Amino acid sequence: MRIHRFEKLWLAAAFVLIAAFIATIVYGSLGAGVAMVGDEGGTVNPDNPTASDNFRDPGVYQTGDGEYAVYVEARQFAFSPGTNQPIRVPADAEVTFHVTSGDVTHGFELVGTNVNTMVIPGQVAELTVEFDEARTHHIVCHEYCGAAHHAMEGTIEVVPRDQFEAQNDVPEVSD
Amino acid sequence: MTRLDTNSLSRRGVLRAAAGSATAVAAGAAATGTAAAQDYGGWFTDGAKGGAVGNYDGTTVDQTGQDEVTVEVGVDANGGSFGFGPAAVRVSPGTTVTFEWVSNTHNVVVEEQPDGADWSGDEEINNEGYSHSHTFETEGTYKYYCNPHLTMGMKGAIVVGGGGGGGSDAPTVEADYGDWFTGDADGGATGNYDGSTVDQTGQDEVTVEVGVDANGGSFGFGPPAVRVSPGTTVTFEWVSNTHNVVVQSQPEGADWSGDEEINNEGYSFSHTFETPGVYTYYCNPHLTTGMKGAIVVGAAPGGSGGGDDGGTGQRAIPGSTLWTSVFAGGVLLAMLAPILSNYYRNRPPAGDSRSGSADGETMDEIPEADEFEPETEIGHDDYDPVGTLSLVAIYFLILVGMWAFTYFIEFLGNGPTIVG
Repeated sequence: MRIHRFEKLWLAAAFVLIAAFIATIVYGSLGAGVAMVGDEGGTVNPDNPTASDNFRDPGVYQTGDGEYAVYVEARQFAFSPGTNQPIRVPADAEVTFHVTSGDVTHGFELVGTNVNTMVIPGQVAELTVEFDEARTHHIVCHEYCGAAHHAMEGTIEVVPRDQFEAQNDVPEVSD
Repeated sequence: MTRLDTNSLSRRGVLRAAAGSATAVAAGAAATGTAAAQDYGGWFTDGAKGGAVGNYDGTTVDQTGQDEVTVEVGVDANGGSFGFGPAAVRVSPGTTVTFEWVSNTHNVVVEEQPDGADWSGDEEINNEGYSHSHTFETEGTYKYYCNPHLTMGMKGAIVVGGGGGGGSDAPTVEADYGDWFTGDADGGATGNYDGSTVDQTGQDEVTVEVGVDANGGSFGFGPPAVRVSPGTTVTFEWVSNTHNVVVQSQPEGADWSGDEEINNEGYSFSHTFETPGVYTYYCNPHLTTGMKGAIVVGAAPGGSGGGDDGGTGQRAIPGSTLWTSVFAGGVLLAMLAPILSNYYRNRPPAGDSRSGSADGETMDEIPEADEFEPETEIGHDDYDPVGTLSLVAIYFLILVGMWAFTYFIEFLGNGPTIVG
């Protein structure tokens, strides 16, 4: 088979590009530390998720030094906590969200960031985030969940860590 | 013309048969809850907008005589915290009803209220602990729902005052429609009006069917003329498609606005007629066929009103039937035109294309271009497709640019990111 030298050129370039794409994913995972949301969150009873062994009453808990856990229950059409009262978490700390749904499939996305997961009844989406910056993030539901899906949103307030520890009395639990 | 007639009639017959089976289903659904003491015109069924109300069992909680009544918003019902508790309540005029939110993300949207009432509900979505009060002065039925959970059946109703129903002191009104049901008024003559007015006085709820078989199609109100007592709620139920109810005339002081939106089978709306007098109305799309109706509010002068035998045989009006048939035939022809033209276009030519090449009528074969001999011939690697190479290079650079932008700037640059 005779291949024109120009064709060889762009075939080689295409292979380099594919290799570079794969290298990027590897870098993102190992170098930048980007993780995927897996199934390590486990399962809960979808009829009463907060009563399950695998879940706690919705709220913020301290699980260690600079480690926090946030349990969020999504329901039509609110995040609890999040919608009625903002979720307050400290900056520069490892915050692990445990999100589940009490009714239908919801979404949990921090607008403009890479924090984004599907919330499936019976499943706990577990994701760890480090907030570098003290600022307010907005949560939206991005899985159509019913008539007021468009109104389903919440707030996360990231406050400086010393201020958080001074102001908030967060229950300590061992994770 | 005869051919068109049969065409359009048989086609309509098919449509009517199809609609008939759907009517049976709709009627079955609408029948739920009508056995209740208080009739809400199907509001608590899924025949109205939104889902069926699971926590309405046909009873209206009687809270009359109390100054303050509480309705809980978001009680456990309808597959979640999607209920009003109680769903239906009767209060006395002047009662202050307090809506108390007992769960989250609910509001109270007013669907329907008596004429002159000014309850605006509370359309803002609020959470547990919130409350909203309104003092209900105007007698009648108020219907409301929670917008986020309407589809789940989160609907409610408040009845202010006793049931409607005209007493014996109702004013008398003569069933005088002028020339409304004849062809002299707007539109055609009404074939299913035989001069009698159906007497439904003394009832709280009266149903008028919209689109019954009459006037050369499903173009009638059933019954076309009905007499009711003041305070009666008349429910218009659509039994066929594309009808509306436009008010032609009504007594002074009445504020019936009809329902000018064109709706289909299964739709219904209600109005409570308080002002005595003669109301005339029609269906705008079918006015020319004679789809007209009238409601007389008030007792008949001198004993009972018209006969009770309702609509009898339909008198077809030749003129309007003819023009309807011509129109329907035209529409049918227009709908078939693409199919027919397609058929004629794809029909193979008279002779087979192989044998009939010389036939002038059929299409000529397109001659193939002559093959030409190259002047010079160059080898495989002697030709440099520089233009192609530069295009490939441009695409490559665009791809690399998009890759860098989406991954390194858009994705990794927009923290925070899930790290575990």
